[in-house]
Amino acid sequence: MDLEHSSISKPMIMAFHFLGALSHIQKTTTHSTFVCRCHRIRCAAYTSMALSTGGHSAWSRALLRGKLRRGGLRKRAVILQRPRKRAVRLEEGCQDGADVLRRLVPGSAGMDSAELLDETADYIRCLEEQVSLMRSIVNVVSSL
Amino acid sequence: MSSQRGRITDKEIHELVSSLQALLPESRRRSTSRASSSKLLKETCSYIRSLQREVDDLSGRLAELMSTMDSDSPQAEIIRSIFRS
Repeated sequence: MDLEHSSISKPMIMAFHFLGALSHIQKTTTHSTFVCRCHRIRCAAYTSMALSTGGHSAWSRALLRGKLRRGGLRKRAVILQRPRKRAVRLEEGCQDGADVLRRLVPGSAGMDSAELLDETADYIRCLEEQVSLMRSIVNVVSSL
Repeated sequence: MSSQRGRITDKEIHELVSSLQALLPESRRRSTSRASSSKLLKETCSYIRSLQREVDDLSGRLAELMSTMDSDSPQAEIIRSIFRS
């Protein structure tokens, strides 16, 4: 199968990876528990999200790195203590919100505010596509 | 994605914040020009959490549905349907 990424859209790439993973999961989890299957599907969802962006964003690289280390989505116990660049600053009182956002978006712990906002927008768009893909699959499968 | 932006202006931050606001579901209904930054960040965080919860929920439903599927032909049908829609 000859895939030219430039001519195939991102949702298609995501669907391709996710459906392939689902097919594999179905074959290999016939005797597993529901929880185990659910966890694998969830991991497959985040992996296909990350793969569909082609590594252009930090969050996708962080997700794939975490998967390679076989740790899944690891919580960061230590926020990197790099000196924060103060060239970019949101309003006062936003730093708490920005810190919460840094915990939610993978790979964004050391970023300044501008990069953080960029990554967040990209992450949200991708999450929405993944959710829409999964909804379509559930609709199709449950109507079989 | 290099950090060679130099000095970021307030205007650029404002644009980034506005484009983030445009992604949030509530702002599509409202027509306010700009909420305060901290409120916007809170809404963003709760929106991300709700999307992640939905991924978890849909994973659960898929896991349930998969346990009732056992043959190979439905999968081919699924793949065809997805690419048609």
